Amino acid sequence: MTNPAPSHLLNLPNELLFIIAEHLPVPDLNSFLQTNRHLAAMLTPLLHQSAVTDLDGCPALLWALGTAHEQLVRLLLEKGVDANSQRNGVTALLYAVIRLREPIMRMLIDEGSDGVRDAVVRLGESIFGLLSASMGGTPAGKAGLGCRQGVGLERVQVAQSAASTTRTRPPPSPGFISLSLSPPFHK
Amino acid sequence: MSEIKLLSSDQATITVQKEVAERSILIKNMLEDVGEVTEAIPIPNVNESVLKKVIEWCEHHKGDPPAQADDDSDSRKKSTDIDEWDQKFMQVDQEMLFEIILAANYLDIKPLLDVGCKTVANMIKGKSPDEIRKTFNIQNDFTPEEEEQIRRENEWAEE
Repeated sequence: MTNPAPSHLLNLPNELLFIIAEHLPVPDLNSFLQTNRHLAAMLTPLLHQSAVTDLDGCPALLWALGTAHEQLVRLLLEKGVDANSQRNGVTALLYAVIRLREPIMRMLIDEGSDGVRDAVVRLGESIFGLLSASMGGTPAGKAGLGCRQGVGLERVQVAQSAASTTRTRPPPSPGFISLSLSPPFHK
Repeated sequence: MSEIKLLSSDQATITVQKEVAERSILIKNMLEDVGEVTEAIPIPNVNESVLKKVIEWCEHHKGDPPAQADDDSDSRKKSTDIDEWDQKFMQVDQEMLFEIILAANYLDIKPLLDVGCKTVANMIKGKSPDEIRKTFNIQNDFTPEEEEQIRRENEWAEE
């Protein structure tokens, strides 16, 4: 049996297309698989794998958390992304907190180390402390804080630094985040 | 220096040094199994022009040291550096490029397969999906909704 002339890239057998794709950095692999259904179906798992091996999984995990993409979070964790991963000091957990995604937080806590659980507590304490201060001592947890979608990362970073050092900016208005530190997080 | 004969898919007989032909692991193993052969070895998947091109590569690279043990390392995979001679060698039309890749795969010539795949990877690098489609004449068979969805899902992978 002779092969037909492979005058077209997509006529190459999948295993060879796969080798070609393995030579591509993540952004180029992403562009490549977006050209066509066949390539998307075949190479998307490789893209997720590359997210873990090439980028330490961090950007993908944080992005998935930022969009509250539960399935992708699960997939990345299954592929071995470190639930403790962080970028510019922003941990995966903090990202989950920002988006107030309790199921995702739980997933990270289950997958993560003791450090993650400690971080939840510390984070809760610092936010709690900050809100208490800015609201004249009203316990933030009881203040009926609403959830504002899309709260900026910057604000939380401010919140973090403000909690540990002197405040450099006016505190964020109350209600920018609500975090319930109910018992499940203290397991 | 002993020579052997290869028979291409289009029935052309090509004489080649044994040492050169043995860059192909397929041929090397075959020769080890059968010992001395006088008849031409049929290479049914490769036509004359492609086989000649592949032999040209094998001749240039016959003295290369064997592949390193850590050949499959990620750094090797990700690198798309191609030496100058190989770059010139790969300046062929797409049809020939894909034929060389197929032949290298069939004949089990890993370094040549690598050079071919890297060449294609370099043609993809730095391009948008649309530019890649144009380069390789790939048909966009996504619906606009699917295209948008996959773009959004993979936003994290953009530069």
